[in-house]
Amino acid sequence: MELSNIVNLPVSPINNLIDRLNKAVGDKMIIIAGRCKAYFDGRIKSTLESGDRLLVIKKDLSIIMHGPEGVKPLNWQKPDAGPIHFSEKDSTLEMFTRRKKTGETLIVVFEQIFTSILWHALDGTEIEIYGDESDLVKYLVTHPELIEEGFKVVKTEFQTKVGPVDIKGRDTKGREVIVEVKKRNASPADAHQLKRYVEYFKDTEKKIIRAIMVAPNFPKNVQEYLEKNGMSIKKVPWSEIFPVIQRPKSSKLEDFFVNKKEEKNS
Amino acid sequence: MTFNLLLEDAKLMANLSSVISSIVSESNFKVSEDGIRIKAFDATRISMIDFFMKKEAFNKYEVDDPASIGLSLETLNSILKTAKTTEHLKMSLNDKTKRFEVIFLGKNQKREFALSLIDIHEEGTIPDTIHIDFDANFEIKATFLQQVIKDAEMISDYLRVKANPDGVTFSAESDTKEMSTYIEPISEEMGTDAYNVVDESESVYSLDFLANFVKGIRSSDSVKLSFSQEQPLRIVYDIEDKGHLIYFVAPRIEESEVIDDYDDYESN
Repeated sequence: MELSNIVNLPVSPINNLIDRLNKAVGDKMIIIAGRCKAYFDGRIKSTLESGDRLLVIKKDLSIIMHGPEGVKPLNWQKPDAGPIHFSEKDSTLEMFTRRKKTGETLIVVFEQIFTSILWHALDGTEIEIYGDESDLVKYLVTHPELIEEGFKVVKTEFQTKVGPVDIKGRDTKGREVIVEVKKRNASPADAHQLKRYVEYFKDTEKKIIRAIMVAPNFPKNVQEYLEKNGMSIKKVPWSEIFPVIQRPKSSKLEDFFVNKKEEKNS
Repeated sequence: MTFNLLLEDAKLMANLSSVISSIVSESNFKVSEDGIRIKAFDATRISMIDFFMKKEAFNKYEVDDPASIGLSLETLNSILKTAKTTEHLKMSLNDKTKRFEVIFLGKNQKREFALSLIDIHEEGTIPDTIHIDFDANFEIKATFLQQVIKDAEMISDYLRVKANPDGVTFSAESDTKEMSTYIEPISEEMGTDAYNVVDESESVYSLDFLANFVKGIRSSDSVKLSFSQEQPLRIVYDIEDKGHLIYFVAPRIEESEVIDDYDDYESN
């Protein structure tokens, strides 16, 4: 364990603490456990009364404040919402932030600091985009040009004996196409699976169909395998697109009709 | 010929086809003794269309054997789009060629098209759409609804509909903007059909899906909307007394994950 990645800051003298905290904003993860109050001046003016809190400020300037109980944070701020600054007010530590978009301010005043940590926290894994593969499929249905110009979606979650096909459609030449959608970089296993689908259609339905795999990235060997076997690749950078999609998710119509039928029978 | 239908108002079929094909690109087209029907889910199975035109709507309706044929509605739509107001529409299934024929009959002239049939497997049964009870029911002018959708599209990609006995609110919001339209039962934009809201009902629907359907409705006509709290929305377009075009959209459900609660707590 690399102990130098994490540092416990001396709580006093307060000016030194403030100095180091301000230097760490945007560079390291800041963790402060203490007793504090918070003042939010936005659409709703609110005061969070004094209590033991855990304040976490991440490298991307996202803020989370937790109380002693529950899962939901008492306060938070999205990454990069606005600048964060520490200062001294009446011998206490004060954190100030203002949201660029709305001008709303959040002030946290620490009556007592129990511990203050700077953590050079690293994350080697790729960005996890919010949503599952069915969200990506839905997005492609409403933006079929991302698969290919002139692509027409016919069906999603098309069931076959070898498994479900994410998207079935037609290209501009009227040819049948199956599309496999991946949230993460394409793997050799994904490529083999797509080949099995193509072979299934050739053997059982006597159809030659086109196959396209959609993924954020293709390792060289996976791309070579797909192209050698007559399949196409399409790179779609989900992490750039997905923040644009709004939640909540759409449910399927069938879920409701089943319930209604059950209601009618009961 | 298994069937042979004649409709003098070719443009009517063209308008209906435009709405239907924007939702479903391929489907089975059923011709039976009582009329023609297209009933299908869209590709994502979030919405559904139920189109029925009764035999009395046609000027000539000859059906030897009921038939269910798979057609590319997109191709059919591009053909029907060419219909002129002076033309009559003839649709038939050619026994010999096994093709669906679309013929436009004009004065001393005839334009013919033929489409191959497609094999379409229907998964599961598509439910009965008419006999469901909803807590909120009202009729509204198409122009009004079209404007609401247009306004909401500037704000977000979904529309919130809230109905109570006093009126209906359509709203949309995003991080930085919001809109809201309120209408009372006595408004001129509300249809003559009874305003029937039994319980306060609120639900959210994807604008993409609503727009597809509503944009194609003739502005001067009205549509009947029905929904219940967090339940599908049903839009019924009565085609004069010739049949109906019914559209269902599944609601968007708020997820109970922590991330979504964040959006509710404060502005972002």
